[in-house]
Amino acid sequence: MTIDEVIAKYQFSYEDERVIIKTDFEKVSIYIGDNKEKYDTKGEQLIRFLNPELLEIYPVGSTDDVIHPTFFLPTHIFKDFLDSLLSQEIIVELKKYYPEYASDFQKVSIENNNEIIQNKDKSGFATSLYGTENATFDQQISAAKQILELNSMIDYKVAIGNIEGEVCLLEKGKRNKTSIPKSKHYNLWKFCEELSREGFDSIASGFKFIDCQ
Amino acid sequence: MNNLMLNNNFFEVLTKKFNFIRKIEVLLSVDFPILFSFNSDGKYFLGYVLEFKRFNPKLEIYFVETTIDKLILLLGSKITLDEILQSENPSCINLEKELDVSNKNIQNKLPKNDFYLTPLIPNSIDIEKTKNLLVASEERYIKFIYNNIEKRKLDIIQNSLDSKSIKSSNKLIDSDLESIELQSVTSLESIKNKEHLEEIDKNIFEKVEKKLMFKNL
Repeated sequence: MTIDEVIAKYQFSYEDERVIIKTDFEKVSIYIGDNKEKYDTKGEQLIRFLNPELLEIYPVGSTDDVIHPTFFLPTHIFKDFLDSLLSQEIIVELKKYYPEYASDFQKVSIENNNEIIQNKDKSGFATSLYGTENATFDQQISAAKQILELNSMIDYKVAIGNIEGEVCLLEKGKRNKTSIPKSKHYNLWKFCEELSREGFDSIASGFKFIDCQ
Repeated sequence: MNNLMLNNNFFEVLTKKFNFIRKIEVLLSVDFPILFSFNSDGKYFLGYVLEFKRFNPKLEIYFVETTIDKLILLLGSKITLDEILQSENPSCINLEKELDVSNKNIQNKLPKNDFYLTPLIPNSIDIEKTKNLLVASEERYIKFIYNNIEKRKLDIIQNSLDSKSIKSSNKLIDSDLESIELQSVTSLESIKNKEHLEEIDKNIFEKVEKKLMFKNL
């Protein structure tokens, strides 16, 4: 789905070449300009690095394992989620993502954020994924393995998959006109459940754990 | 762009050791920044994250003094990360204190000696764009030195013209100025000659100026 089709389908506002999309947690302003080709609702062979601290709660060890949707929460919400577990609290808006042992934790609420997230800050409010250009699957996995060899990344795991349907907006890192195999960073913003009728489980279900050890 | 800004722990560690931190550039970031450069007190440093945990906060960063030239080579996949981290004055800090870098535990956390920062490595930073920014900044610096050399050269010529002993002194000074001109012109062609330009700026001019002063006595 093109960005124009997304705007039409979800009736997002589009002014001064900026679209304001509605996610589950806030509104995000994205400058589109002349870069409409950077945006899509689908993506193939994308990598998500699985956070080791969350892997302790929701372990993944074989390709048949279901990847828990919490792994796909946007960066800022993921941080709030881990912080709340550390302080033994449950953020009520994220209730469905908590493990069973947290059911007795004290309940708190996310401060209602009515501010529109500006284009320059948008990446901090997205889920990060990595794709490639001009690279084979083996090259992609080999590069991911190299990252996992760095000490700070050693406990991370890798899930790879496709994004399908019309539930999110994917923004692809700028296109370069070379034939060199390259990694591409993607920002993903899932449209709010009210509009997309889907939760983060619909994103997670397209991904499989890949053993890079 | 700069996701170091999102994490206070990074600043807590940086400000333990460094003053006047500016020009922070993240060079490798996957879920959190792993490699970044910055300027402190006029010198460039590279920070490499050895450990980072959000849940029970843990952060350990290895620092080395570096140069823009080396960072450009790293971003161009011309030298390994290990090569740039091998420096005479490394340091390592965690959230509590400065650590002993010779400790085997720290050394074991450094990258393998075949890790290149290639465009294929998953990275939320566009290393080609970052490299181009550093190259542009370096070129500005070189032009600044070059212009400075040109200006000082004109001053010297003016001084020597004013000199009473101009006839006898000119030959020697001319040959020095000629060498400056030749060297500075070729230096503009490549950033590799930056050190050479700096040397002209600092040392050779001093030599010419002293000679001129002597002749003018």
